[in-house]
Amino acid sequence: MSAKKKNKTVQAMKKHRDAYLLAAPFLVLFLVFFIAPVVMTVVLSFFSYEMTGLPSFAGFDNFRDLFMFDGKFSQAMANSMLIFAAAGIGGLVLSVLAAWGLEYLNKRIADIITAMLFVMSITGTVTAAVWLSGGLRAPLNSLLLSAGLTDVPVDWLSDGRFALPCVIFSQLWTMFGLGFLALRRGFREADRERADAAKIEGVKNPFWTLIFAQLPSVWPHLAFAALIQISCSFTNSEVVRILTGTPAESFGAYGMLTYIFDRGERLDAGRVFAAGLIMIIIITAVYAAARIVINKLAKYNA
Amino acid sequence: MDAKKKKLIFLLVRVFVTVLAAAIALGLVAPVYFVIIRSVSPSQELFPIRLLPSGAVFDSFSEMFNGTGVTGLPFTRNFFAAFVVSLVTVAVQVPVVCAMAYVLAKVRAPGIRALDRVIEWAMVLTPLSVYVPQYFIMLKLGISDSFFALILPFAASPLSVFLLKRYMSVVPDDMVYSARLEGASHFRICFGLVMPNIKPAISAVAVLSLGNMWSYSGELFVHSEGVKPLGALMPLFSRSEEYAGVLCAAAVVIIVPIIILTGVFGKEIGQIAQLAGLKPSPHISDKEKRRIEEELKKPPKPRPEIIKPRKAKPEKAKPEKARTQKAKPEKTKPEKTKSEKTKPVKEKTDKAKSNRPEKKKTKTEKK
Repeated sequence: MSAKKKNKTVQAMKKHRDAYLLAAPFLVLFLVFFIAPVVMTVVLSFFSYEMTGLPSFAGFDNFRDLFMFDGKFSQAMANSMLIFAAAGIGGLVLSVLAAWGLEYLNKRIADIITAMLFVMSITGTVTAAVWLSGGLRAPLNSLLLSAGLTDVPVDWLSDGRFALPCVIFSQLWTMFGLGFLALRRGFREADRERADAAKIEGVKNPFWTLIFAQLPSVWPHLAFAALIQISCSFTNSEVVRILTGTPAESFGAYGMLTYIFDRGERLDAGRVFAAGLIMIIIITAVYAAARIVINKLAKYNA
Repeated sequence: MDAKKKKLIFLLVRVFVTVLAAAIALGLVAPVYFVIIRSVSPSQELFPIRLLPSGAVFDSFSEMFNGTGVTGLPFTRNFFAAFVVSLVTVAVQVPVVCAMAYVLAKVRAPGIRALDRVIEWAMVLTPLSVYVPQYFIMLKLGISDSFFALILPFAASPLSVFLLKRYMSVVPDDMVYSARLEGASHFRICFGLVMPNIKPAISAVAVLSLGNMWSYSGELFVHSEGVKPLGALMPLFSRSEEYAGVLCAAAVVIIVPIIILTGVFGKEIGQIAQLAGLKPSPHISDKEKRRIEEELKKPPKPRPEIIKPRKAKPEKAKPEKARTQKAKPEKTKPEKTKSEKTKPVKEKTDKAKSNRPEKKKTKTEKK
């Protein structure tokens, strides 16, 4: 930066000194509990903790080990991607469709349904955890057993066959969270001009109207919903696992977070940090992609 | 017949969508209903699943309240922990997050925009991704296994900042700038001017955070039973069969307050979702400012001659007449509604009349 620019910046910073003070409490907490862990993950993922307990630089060994020698990690990554695609992206698409579809209803009914869905979504993880608990008396088991559909109570989250679909299904609740509310408002208040113009031009298929006319005008709400959905999809499976008390090793929907919890408790530290770094990179990549799309939509609609 | 057919089809579609939506909504409500019902059912009625219990029985709840955990501590301890953790977290979160949202939304200082992006990234990169390093940091700081370990990581919640930041557009930027010009410090502006106007958003964010913390389980960070909040009860009951009813009771204790709070503050939460979707007020960067200035400096494009240019003085009489004609209906309107205000209105138009001919003179002279 040239001297003149530096001077300007310093002057601006002095002028707004009390603003920085205002932001300080948040920034301190943020630094300690978010930035520091991330930095720690990045740095320590390149070290390995041998038997001695002291870290020694190991370069990319941890990463290589993760992919080559630890079959669980590859499976974990595959599971996480699957959950993200189904619950994250699929959930976003479904909540957009739901928000759009509700628009065609009587306003009062739509509002009641929206409120019901949102309230249910907040309690989603707890309810899912109760229903997916194992044993004879668990709700889902007793339902299936009394309906005669199965013979034996199933331990849903431990069973490899059922855990993944169950987890994905349990995330359906989150579809109707804050993002859904924002989309509802967006669709209700969006200017009808484009949709009407499409109708006049003779677009018969309502889905085309949705994609090309209505979606662009609700893009800010879509952006918000997408951001929330991305962050939810990675963590909800973990929360459900924790609430049902399923131990990490036997979790059927073993994802990257489960891997971190699982190994983290045994202090296999180098690989844990490497796994954490990979997870951070993946989520950041998804976020960057989402941001690019959002910015493009903003320019297109500004 | 074509129009009638279309109407019929439209009606059918609406009915179908209504039924579908109601079915889905019921499908999501039903599990919660069953959990609540089963928490008050007698234990024998749990296995074949029933729609309605024979009578409300509060055994599960009493077992939950009176029973003790592994270490002999009663489960009421978990309640206490949940209360402390939720309320303190929200109490700390509100001012901290408000201040940060204010700075992000209203202050134009170097580094704010970058900070904005970082916090947004942190929101997407959820807390759970950094759990393990957070645990080590807490160990080093010596606060692990205490209430601090549960409160502090969530006190600086990027999601709350994100939600509040959008809602800040309710307070116009100009008000903030004029307050700044009059010498108000950012503290005064934030807590005196902005926060009172944002109360719905604050309550919405507080309720959402309360909901999150109330069902929090504190899984990795705390190990001693005395500090674990309510969420830790659920895995305790989940694996054994005799406790199936108690599991539902625990779930009810977690869910019902959240549902009630969300219901009460539903309007505010809706408002936050609505404004959360709006485009943020753009901070115009210096580059853009320069571009706009350059564009303004260029000569204005010649407009097509739709309106003939006004001729000199003899035309002046017409605009005056037109103005008096216009002024009359304006005068009668205030007379009808508020008789008190006609005087200042009259004075205004008189002043305008006396001023305007001078203006017109100068304009035509210029031309």
